[in-house]
Amino acid sequence: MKKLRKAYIALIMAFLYAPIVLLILYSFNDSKSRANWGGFTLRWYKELFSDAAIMSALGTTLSIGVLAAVISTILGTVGAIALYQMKRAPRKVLLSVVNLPMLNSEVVTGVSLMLLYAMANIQLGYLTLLLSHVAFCVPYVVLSVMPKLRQLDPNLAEAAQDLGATPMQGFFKVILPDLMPGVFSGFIMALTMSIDDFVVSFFTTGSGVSNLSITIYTMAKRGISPKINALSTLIFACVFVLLVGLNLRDFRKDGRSQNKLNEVKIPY
Amino acid sequence: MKKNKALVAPFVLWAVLFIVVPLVMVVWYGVTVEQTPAYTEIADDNGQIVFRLEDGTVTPERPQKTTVVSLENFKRMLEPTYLKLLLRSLKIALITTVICLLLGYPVALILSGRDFKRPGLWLMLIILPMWMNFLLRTYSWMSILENTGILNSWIASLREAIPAFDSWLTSMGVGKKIIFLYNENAVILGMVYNYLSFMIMPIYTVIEKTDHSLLDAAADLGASPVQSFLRVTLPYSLPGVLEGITMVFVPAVTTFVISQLMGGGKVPLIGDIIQNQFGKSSDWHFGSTLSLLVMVVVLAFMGGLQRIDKEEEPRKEVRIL
Repeated sequence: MKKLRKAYIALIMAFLYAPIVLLILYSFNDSKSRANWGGFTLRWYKELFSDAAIMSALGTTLSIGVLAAVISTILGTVGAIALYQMKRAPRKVLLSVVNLPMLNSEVVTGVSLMLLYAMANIQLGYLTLLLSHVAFCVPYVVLSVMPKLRQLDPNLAEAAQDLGATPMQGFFKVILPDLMPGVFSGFIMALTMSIDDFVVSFFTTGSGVSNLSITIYTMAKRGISPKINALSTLIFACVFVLLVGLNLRDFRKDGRSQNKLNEVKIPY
Repeated sequence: MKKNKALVAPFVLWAVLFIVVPLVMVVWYGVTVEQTPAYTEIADDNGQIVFRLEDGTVTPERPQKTTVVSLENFKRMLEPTYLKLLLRSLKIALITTVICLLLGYPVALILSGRDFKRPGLWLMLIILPMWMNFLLRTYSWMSILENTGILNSWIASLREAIPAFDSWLTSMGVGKKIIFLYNENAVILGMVYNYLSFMIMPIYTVIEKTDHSLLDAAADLGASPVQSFLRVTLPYSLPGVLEGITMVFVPAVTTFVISQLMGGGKVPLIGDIIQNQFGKSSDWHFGSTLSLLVMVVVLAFMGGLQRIDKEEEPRKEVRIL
């Protein structure tokens, strides 16, 4: 029975990783075609860094990802605190509004934002891309900060002020540290979602600004350059090392793994 | 915490601007169409060109496109072409969800088992593929499944190596090249692949939190493992299952990329048509009407799920007591 369970997990892993292994193999393939193996090469890795289109797409993806994550983390934390302070009825209304983008499909979110920019006469480009990424990330940050606020002892802030802290000091020295795990997981979620997003970006970017997803989508029609495979392999390797490292460290510390990442809700 | 109303206003403003207004725009575009009134160009007495409208009025300015409220696009939406697309999208999304549930539930159950070592590590390995762009992963499936792809070449070499296998396949009516891609099954495979972890995660989270001593209690009271699964684990995991279903079904019913890649354009879904309206066909009004349709379908689906959730709850407690 135990063997059967392990075999099942192995099977699912094989299903999940088959295309990834293949992709990594192709990044070392000395042939442009996917059909045959032309020998081992590091050519694509070298050429990757001199490919202006891919490098600029990578730059866009990373800068939008970091900016959107930072802005939506601040906005989402502010929003969560605002929601926490509201009376029951208006809070319920605002919370369902904030949850809308998560219930809606990405297509509807993308389309609706595109119409907003058209109405406001904003040219589609880097700015609209950033605003849109912030728009779909904020709800996830709110969602991960809210539970931490509910766990907060309401007397803490008062105690801080009784002891002579200004409201600002009270917030940054007492409240915020307690919220940090939620803020952090919200940040990671926002970053992940922004970097992985295709659908919303597709509708809200223009004037030649394109991120990696859009570059790949455009390429998919003509055939994907092995350079993209090389880039993805590099990104994947970095994340893999980082996450496995973190996980093993946690495992050593606690015996049974208590990974913080388990708390991070999967974005979709 | 001291009440600080200064925080409320900017956030509410943001939410209205980036959530409410865009949705209102979709509704507005959905219920309007652009019309140019029919007219004829004529020359007036001085030889100037003027424009005569259908009702006989004459204006010196060329009539412009105007936006008028109309339910025309709703009628168009109900045409069989679009209804068929919607039904196909729903069918494929439903099949995908069921397969994800059947494949994913056991994974969550096994990983949350008490004797399973390092579940965090395995869970992380399940999330990790999401860090590789989903378009690339889907594209990679295409190179496995295409006519000159890996799977076909493996099958071909197997046939050469084992003549019995070859003749068995031939007798089954299987051709030299098996066509895996560009049909509904390929689209479903692509979706199951992309959304499976969305099903596993929430179910795992819920089962993991379930008090293990409940299972001990069930066993002490004489329940077989199957009974305690059916009476304890399964009802407790229901909220996770419902969340997983939502997380798979919603993106599956509206995707337009997977269907284009794995279906090769032969299996268009409702998402493809919406994308088309905002791209090539450039009919934003009809695109918005279809977006409204999708929105209503998704919300109705979620409403239904929530009702199940609520109905299940009291029963759960009775069982435990």
